[in-house]
Amino acid sequence: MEYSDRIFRFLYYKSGNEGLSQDLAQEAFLRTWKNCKQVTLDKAKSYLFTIANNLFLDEVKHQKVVRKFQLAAPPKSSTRKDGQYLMEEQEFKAKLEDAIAQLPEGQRLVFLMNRIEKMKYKDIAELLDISVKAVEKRMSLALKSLRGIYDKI
Amino acid sequence: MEENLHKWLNQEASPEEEAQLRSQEGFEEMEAIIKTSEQLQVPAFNKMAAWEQLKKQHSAPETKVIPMKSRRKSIAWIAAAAAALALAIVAFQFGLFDNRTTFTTLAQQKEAVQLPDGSYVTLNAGSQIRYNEMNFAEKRLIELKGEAYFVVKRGGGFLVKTNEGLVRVLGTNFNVYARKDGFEVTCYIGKVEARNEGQIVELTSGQAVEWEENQFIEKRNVFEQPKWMDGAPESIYDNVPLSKVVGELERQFGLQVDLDIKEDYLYRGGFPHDDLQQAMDNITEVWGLRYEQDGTRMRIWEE
Repeated sequence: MEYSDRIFRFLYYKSGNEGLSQDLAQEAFLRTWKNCKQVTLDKAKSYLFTIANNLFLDEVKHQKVVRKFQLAAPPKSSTRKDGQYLMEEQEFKAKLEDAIAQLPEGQRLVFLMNRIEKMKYKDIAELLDISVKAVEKRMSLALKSLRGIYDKI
Repeated sequence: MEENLHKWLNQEASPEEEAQLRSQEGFEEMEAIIKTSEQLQVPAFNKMAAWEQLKKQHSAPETKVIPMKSRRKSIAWIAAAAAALALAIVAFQFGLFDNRTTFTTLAQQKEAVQLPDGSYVTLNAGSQIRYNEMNFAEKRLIELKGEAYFVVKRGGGFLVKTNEGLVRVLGTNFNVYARKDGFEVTCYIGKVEARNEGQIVELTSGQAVEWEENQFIEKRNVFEQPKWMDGAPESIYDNVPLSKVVGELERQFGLQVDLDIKEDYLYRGGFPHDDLQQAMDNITEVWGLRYEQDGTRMRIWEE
């Protein structure tokens, strides 16, 4: 079960839906388990991610997934903040949560893997079987859309 | 410039490159977005539920083909069939009296259960759930004694009945603590409704309530999942009577604890479920209480 958290998070970044990610991660392991005779150990990891990805694609074809991303409260800094500032901070957070949910799934996945998992572009590229250039592009696009929240505040 | 940004995001930018980047207009806003995004709360994968599911599906019996034997054995077959029928009738009659399914955890046990509708319940130590398998699809009703965490599949109503109060679910993840020493409901995702003695409160994600002196009091909750379900499980308390904390200690370690103190302290802190020594130190240290273990008995006293 070494990869279970990673598979789960991978699905969560794509879908923003905890229940769905739980179900699909479970299903991915079950299928890998059933096919373990055909899958060698060194291939198991990419096999798992491929299956998880396929399951996800099947699922989104069937239904519209409700995405929900939640940001933790930012760490408190020592300087005192007034009510106005706190309000703005809350608003900023809500906008950002929304913007992350609105990102196209491929961009969000790359962005969150880089930011939350601290994965380097080349590792992301390898995992998703795309080029480093493609990762760069998705990242740039994601940042560009996220910057858009400033226009709305 | 774009190149420097990517290097920076890969933790590969040199100090000069980073300085260059920082001097750019609009970088501050960009950094705020990036840093704030890093605080995204990622829910934890429920390994226990997944494992149970895997075990269940994997151990599902496979259909075996039994070759037919000669006709001489037909009498034996009839006898066997009659016996099976008689057994089935007996089982059916018992079923008529009580076709409820019960899951119970003893001290030191936690168990994940999948309900007929695909919802999951994880029982904390010393807890019990009971439900009617036959009509669960029409009426999702669970009777609970103790503490459990629920991950409910979307669908019609879902009720958790306890001696201490009622919880009505509107599709969601939540925890219920229902013991003689308290009734607490914590909602992690979605919406639930807690009821007791004619009072109703509705909870949304991140909210928790406790029944105290005949009313629901709002409690603080900052966790994404009950701490007792963590990989490193523990119990967390915020000003809770020591006697209640000790009750949980008994269930987690299968102990009988004699608490010999003049007055009940309010405990604020936690104890791990997998390290008794540490747990005892955590609980006793603040007030300088002493403790001594003798088999499954534990004495805590005040000098």
